[in-house]
Amino acid sequence: MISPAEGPGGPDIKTLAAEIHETMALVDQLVREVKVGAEAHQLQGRLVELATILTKRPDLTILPGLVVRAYSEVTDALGGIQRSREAIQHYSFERLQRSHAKLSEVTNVTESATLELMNGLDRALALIDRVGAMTPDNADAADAIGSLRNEVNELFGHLQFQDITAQQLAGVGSLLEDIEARVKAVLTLFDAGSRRPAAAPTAGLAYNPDASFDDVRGRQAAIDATFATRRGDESGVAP
Amino acid sequence: MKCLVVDDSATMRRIVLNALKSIGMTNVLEAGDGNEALQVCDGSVELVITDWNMPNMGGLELVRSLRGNPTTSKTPILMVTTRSVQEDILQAVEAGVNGYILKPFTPQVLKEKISQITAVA
Repeated sequence: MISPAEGPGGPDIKTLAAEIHETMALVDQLVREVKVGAEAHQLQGRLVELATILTKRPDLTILPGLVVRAYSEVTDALGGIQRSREAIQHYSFERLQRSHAKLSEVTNVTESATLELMNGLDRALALIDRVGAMTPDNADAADAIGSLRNEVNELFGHLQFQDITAQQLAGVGSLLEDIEARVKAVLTLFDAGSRRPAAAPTAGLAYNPDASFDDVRGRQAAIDATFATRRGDESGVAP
Repeated sequence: MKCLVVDDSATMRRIVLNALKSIGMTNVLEAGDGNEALQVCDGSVELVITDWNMPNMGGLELVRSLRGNPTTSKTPILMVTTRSVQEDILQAVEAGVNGYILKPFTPQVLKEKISQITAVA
């Protein structure tokens, strides 16, 4: 008896089906390869087409050169920016920092000197008191001693210059700090994640940047007038 | 009269102290800012002389704190500062300052202002 899957003297159906399947797979592969070849040929065709266009349009052949020149110029510009950055770092930023340090030094030195002067004035006042105690019954001496004491007290008052100039210098120092922050921001302009400098704080300052020696008497009079007006009387006292 | 002098500048505190001494006021406390002042200012202080611009707590804030405390709400306060802009003066008045002296001042001006504000208070 012959199996339905095999004929007499020929391959069986299973084997034939496998061969057909294998052949079909080979055909599929061949089709894919032909397609790729066609695409490559197409690309080649396009390249040839482009070459033909470039041959017909010689002006377009300068394009690659232009790109190279632009790249070179951008590189030069970046080098210039780097040099400017170094110059700012060296001449501006560091100089600002030095100026700031100098200002602080001036403030500290004048404060120390002022305190020394005060110590001297205190000693002078003690001596004046001693001399006064030595001549209790001499009216002329008492007058002179009183005048001398007033002079020394006046000198004390003049030392207020230190507090006022210290406030003025603190104001300038704060300005320098602000400029430093801005210069720093410029220096980091081309760095990743650069940020705008934060605005300098103006509230709650421990100094008055507008401190001045100008026309103190006139300004005091204006203040007194304001107080009088606001308080509703001439005493300048809260109701 | 017991007085409290508040200024962050040691120089200024000494100048004010000397000026007070020259007019016979020797019972004086000192503070370097508003916070320190609040710690020492009680009902026994009869006069506060304060700067405006100070670290931690400035003079204006100090004045407001003192005025908000029943113990010190009536204590005479004299502001001694370099600030002379009209807006600042009005703020000081609103806060409850009794007198206002511009730096640099003379002992005479200080004496006059103290007399004015303590006589009425």
